[in-house]
Amino acid sequence: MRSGELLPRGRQVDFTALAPERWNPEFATPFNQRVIGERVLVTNDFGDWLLLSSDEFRSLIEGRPQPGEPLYEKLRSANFVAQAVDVGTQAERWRRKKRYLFHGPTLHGFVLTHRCNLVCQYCHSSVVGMERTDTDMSLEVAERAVDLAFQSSAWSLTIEFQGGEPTANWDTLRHVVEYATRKNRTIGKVLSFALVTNLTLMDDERLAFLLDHKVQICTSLDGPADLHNKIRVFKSGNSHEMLVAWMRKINERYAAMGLDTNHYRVEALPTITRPSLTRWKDIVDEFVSVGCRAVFLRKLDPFGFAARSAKTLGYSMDEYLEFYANAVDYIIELNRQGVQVMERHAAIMLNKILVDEEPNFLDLRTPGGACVGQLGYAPDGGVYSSDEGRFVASMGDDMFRIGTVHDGYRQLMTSAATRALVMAGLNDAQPDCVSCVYKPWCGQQVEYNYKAQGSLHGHMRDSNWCKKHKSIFDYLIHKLESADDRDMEMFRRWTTNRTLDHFIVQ
Amino acid sequence: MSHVHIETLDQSSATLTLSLDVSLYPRDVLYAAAYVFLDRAYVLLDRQDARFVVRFRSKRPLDEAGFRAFAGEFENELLAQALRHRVVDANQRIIEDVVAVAIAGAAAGVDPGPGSTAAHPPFIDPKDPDDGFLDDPLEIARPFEPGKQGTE
Repeated sequence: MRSGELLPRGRQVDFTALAPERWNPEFATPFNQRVIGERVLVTNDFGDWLLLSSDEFRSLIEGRPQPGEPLYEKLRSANFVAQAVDVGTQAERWRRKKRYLFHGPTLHGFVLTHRCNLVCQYCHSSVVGMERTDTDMSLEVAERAVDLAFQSSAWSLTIEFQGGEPTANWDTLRHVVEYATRKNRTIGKVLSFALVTNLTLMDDERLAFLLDHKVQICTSLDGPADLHNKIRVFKSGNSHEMLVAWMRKINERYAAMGLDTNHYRVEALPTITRPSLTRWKDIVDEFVSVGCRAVFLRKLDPFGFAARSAKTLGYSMDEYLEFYANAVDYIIELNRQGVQVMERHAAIMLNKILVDEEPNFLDLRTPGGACVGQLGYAPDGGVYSSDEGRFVASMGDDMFRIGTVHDGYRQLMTSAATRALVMAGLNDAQPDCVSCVYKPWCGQQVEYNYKAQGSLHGHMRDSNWCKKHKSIFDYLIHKLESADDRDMEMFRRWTTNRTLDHFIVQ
Repeated sequence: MSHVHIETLDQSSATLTLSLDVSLYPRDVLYAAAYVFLDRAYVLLDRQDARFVVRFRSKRPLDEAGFRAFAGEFENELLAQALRHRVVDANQRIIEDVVAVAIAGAAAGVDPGPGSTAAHPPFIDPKDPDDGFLDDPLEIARPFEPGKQGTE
C-alpha cells in the first residue's frame, strides 16, 4: 500500500544536456516526449508511441538513424521518420479512429424526472421529493425527444434513462421504449436502451418489461454496506441490501435467458467520496463479490450537490490519485491470482495505447463529446450539451442549454452554442495539450473547465482534469514499461471489447 | 553555458526575474515555456531592448536553491518547446495531409455503420455556407474570463 507516496510521475526530458546545434528537425514527424522511469516516452499525432533509451532519443532528435539500422526500423515502423510516412495508410487510420467526427450524437440522456427516493449526499442532480410529480417528463416531451434523437446522423443510438430516479416516472420510461422501438422499425438504426437506477423501485413486473425490451440495467454501488448506506441514504430501508439482492436476481435472469454471464451482468458504478479513500480494497472486493468484472473509480466532480458537500465528502486530487493507485495495484494483484476484474479508466486508456482503438469515451476524446457526441434532455424539454451541462443547469446556470425538443436537429447542431462548445473542446486549441505526450489519447470536457476554472477553455496547467488524466497515463505507462508477459496479457485482456449484441433493438 | 540570466532573486517577495536574448528563441517558444509555469507562479513577460524579461512570482515560498532550480527548469522548457517548434515547422505538413485526405474520403457520405439500414446526408455539408464550423460568434476562442473565476 502506498502511504503518502505519490504515483510514479513522468517528467520533462533534460534538454540542457542535448546540444541544440546538433538537432535535425527535418528527420522526425512532430512528436512529444516525457521521461518515464529510465526511458523517454515519445508519441506522435497518429497515436504511435515508443519507449526509447536516452541514447535512442538523442539519436532521434539529431536525425542520425540510417535505413537498415534497428533503431531506424523501429522509428519508421512507428511513423516517427518523416520521409517514410505513408499518407494514405495514415489517413485511413485517422479516419477509422476519428469516425465519431462523421456523424451526430449517439448518446441521448433522458432525464425522466427530478424525483428520487434516496438522499445521496453527493447527488449531481437537482433532486426533489417523491411527491413532486410536476418535475416528471411528460409523454409529449418524451416523444419529441425521441423524434429529435432519431434525427441524429449517427447510425447508432443509445437512449439512456437518468434522473432523479428514472423508474419513478415508469409510464414515460415504458412509453419511450415502446415508441422508439416502433419508430426504429422503419428507420433502422442500431438502437439500444440503458437504465441508470438505484433499483429500489424495481419489482418483478418492471424487471420483466426491461428484460423483454432489452434495456441494459446499470446501477450505483459505493462499496460494502456500511459505506454505501452512509452515503446513499434511504429512509425506507437498507439501500445496499436491496441493491445487491436485485443485482443478483437480474444476473440470474440473464443466465436463465442463456446469455453469457461473463459479459452480461448488471453494471455498477461507485462514486468515490472521502470515506472511500482508505477503503480501496473493500470497494474492489465488494464489486468482485457481487459479480462485477469492472470498477470505474471516478473522482467526485464539481457539479451539483457534490460541490456543496465538498468539505465533508471532497478530497484533493493527490488524495484521489493515491487511492486510485492503491486500488488498481490491488486489482492487478487480484488478476495475478486469477480473479478477472478491471478498472475502466485504465481499460479505456489501454485501448487507445495498446490496440490503437478509439473507444469514443466522450470525456476523453477531441473534440469533447458535448453536443456532437451526446445530448441531454431535461423533463421540461430543454436540450443540453451533456449530463454535465444539465448538472450545471441544476446549479442555476443555463450555459449549456442549447435549445429545446421543439427545435430542429440541424438548428441545434449548427447553433452558435454548439459551435463554441466544439471549438473549446479541441486538444489542438489548448496551449498545454498541443505539447503533451498524451495528446493523441486524451481529451477534455468543456463543462468541467467552465465549472472548475470559469471558462470553456480552462487552463490545463493547473486543471485537476489534466492532472488526473496525465497522472493515470503516467501510472499506466510505468506499468507497461515494467510489465512482464503475464501482466501484458492481463492488460490486453482489459482492452478486449465485446459488443453486447443482446441489448441491440432491431 | 546558460542562455538565461538571473536578473533578480528576492525570497522575501517570492520573485525571480530572468532575461534572455530576443534572438535566441521565437516568441511562441517563450510563451509556450512560460505557460508551463502557470500552476506554480504568476508570470509576467516583458522586453527591455534586445532582451526578453520574464518575471515569476512564486505561488509558494521557495528558498534560493528552489529559485535557481526554477530558472534551470525554465531554460530546459525553452529548449523543449524550441525543439517541438522546429520539428512542427519542418514536418507539420504530413499531419495536415493525413487529416485532409481522411476528411476528403469521409465527405463523400456518412458510413451507415454495421447492422444499420439507415441512410443520412453528411452531417457537415461543405457546399452550405452556414456550415462554417470555424466561426466564433460567441467569441469563445478568447482566453480566460476573469469575471467567472472557478473553484480550482
